Amino acid sequence: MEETMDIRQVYDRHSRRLYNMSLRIVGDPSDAEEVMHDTLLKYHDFARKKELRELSGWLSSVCIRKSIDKLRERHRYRNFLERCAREEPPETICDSAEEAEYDIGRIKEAMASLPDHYRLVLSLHLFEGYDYEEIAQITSAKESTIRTLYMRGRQKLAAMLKKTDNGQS
Amino acid sequence: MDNLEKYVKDNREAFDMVPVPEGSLDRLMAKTRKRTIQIRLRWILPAAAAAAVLVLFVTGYYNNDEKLHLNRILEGIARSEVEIMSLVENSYPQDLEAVGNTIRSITAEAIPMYSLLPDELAPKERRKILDEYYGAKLQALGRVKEYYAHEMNNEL
Repeated sequence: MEETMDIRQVYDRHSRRLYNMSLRIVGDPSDAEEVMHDTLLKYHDFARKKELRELSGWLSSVCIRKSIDKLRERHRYRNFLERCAREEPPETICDSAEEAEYDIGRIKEAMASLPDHYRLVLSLHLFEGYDYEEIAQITSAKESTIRTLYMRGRQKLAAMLKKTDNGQS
Repeated sequence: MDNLEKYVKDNREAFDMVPVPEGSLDRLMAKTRKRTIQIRLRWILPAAAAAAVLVLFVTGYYNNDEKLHLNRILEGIARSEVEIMSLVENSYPQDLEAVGNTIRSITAEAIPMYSLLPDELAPKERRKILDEYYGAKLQALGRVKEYYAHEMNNEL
């Protein structure tokens, strides 16, 4: 009974944050819900709860790892970031100095329409505050690959934001 | 920090406003109940295996020296199995089924090796063969345990 209460409390406090975090990475609501559930179940089953230094950070790290696993399943390749970076030719899309004005809704929309590999790297860097080295560690990719994917993804995002900006005006 | 990074940082909370799908808590609670039952059921197999090993030796199937020696090895294997299952059950329950399969593939013997050895083999030779055979299984179990212990330390 106590455990059930416990997981409910954790759900109440963290479910929305974890769901949004996963949704940004996996881009699919039902996958994001599954990842959020798996994260909370991991906490529920974790015997050493008292040893956790910081619950919020621990949950985030589990949620991010599980979201990455979901993308790996989808791409059927563990190191899909390296493969995507190799297969996609570099392109210059726009000068980031000429960026559109930002808007939360449009950024979310543009992020959601990015390919998985760009969305993952941008989510971790822009939203979760991971640096390139940390992203490389948790995705098992090279730091140079992460840097390249971030730059390309960032350009694509800027181009999308600019396009919607032009479309609206 | 570029303009976009700054904008996201300044408005970070507003990006987490998508509500959790309706009924999500009920689905989560159903999963916790299902998982508890599964975990209990999965314990039965290794416990039964450990019990079978004990019964075999309590009934005195082998001569004394070999029995004692083999008893120690098989007890070690059974103990390792239980330790791994307990570790995984507590920290990686989602891996429990896969780990259970791995353990079974390491430890399973359609016909136990000790019963296949010809009687005319010298005791020293029998002991050597059994040590090598079951020692490899123990080593493999040790690696599985090491892997999960390492993963746990990384997460804390």
